[in-house]
Amino acid sequence: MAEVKEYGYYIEGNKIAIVQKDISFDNDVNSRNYGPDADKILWKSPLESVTDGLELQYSYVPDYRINDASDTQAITGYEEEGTGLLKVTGGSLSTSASITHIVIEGLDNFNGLHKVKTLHSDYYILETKYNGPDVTNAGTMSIDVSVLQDESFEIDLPTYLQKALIYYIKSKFFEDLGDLEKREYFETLFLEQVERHNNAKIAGFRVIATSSNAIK
Amino acid sequence: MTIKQIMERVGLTETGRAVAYIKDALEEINVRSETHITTSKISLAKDQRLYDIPNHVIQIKDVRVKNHLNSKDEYRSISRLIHKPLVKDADGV
Repeated sequence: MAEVKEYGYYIEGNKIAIVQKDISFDNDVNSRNYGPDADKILWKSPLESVTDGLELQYSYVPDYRINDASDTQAITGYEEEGTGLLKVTGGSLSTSASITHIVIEGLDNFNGLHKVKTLHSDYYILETKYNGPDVTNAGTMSIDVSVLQDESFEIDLPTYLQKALIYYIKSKFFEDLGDLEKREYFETLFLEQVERHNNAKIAGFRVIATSSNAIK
Repeated sequence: MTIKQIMERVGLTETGRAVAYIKDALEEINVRSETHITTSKISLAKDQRLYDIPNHVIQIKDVRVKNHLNSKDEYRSISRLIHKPLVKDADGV
């Protein structure tokens, strides 16, 4: 039976720190952790490598739409292109001129939307900065993607929240004009609209309780 | 609703300005209402404590690790520590 592990995390700047409980005995008499008891535990960096071991769930800005989720290509790894750009590698990749952006999934640090600079059947060079070693890492990329950059782009937002978006833009518009009274007015409408949208999704009464992953 | 329709409703004529406003709005709406949520997997490396948070993250909703308090390869939520460990680790963090 595999050993049961226990992990914790904390945030450090724009990075997430993962620590693992080390319950192995440290019987070095010169160590402050000397002793036979299992309560001599320490949080340490992960004690072993785990492929796809960490899963982050997060919200993101929907400034792109994947038109065809099945239109994907396999990525075998990534490396630094000569000028410090990210180069994702694969095999028999499409070189269709219609590919201007890709959405990556499965590459540790580069999931999300990227702009394509050069198309090649063995690699794509992206306009994303990267300085580092060559990495072998299997992932996928969606190549049929629309990006929020021209007037034809359709916003991927619930209908009710599209009204909130209008209020927000009007609020910012009047803020730039220096008309703070109208700015406040539209800001209030925006906040009310978003709140009504949130409330509409929750039925029944609400209870505040400590979650299973509360702070230790 | 397309950007063009939004521009007409708001009375904007400059596309670049409209796109900038809309991006701000989408960000603000997602902070308050979380319309779009996704998951991302990152490989853990032995003795490496820090991992990059993807750039397009607005709010982290959950952090799960494979085999946390189980041995069935399940991903389970892990707790956040208030203080980082005082003793330096093998990777110098």
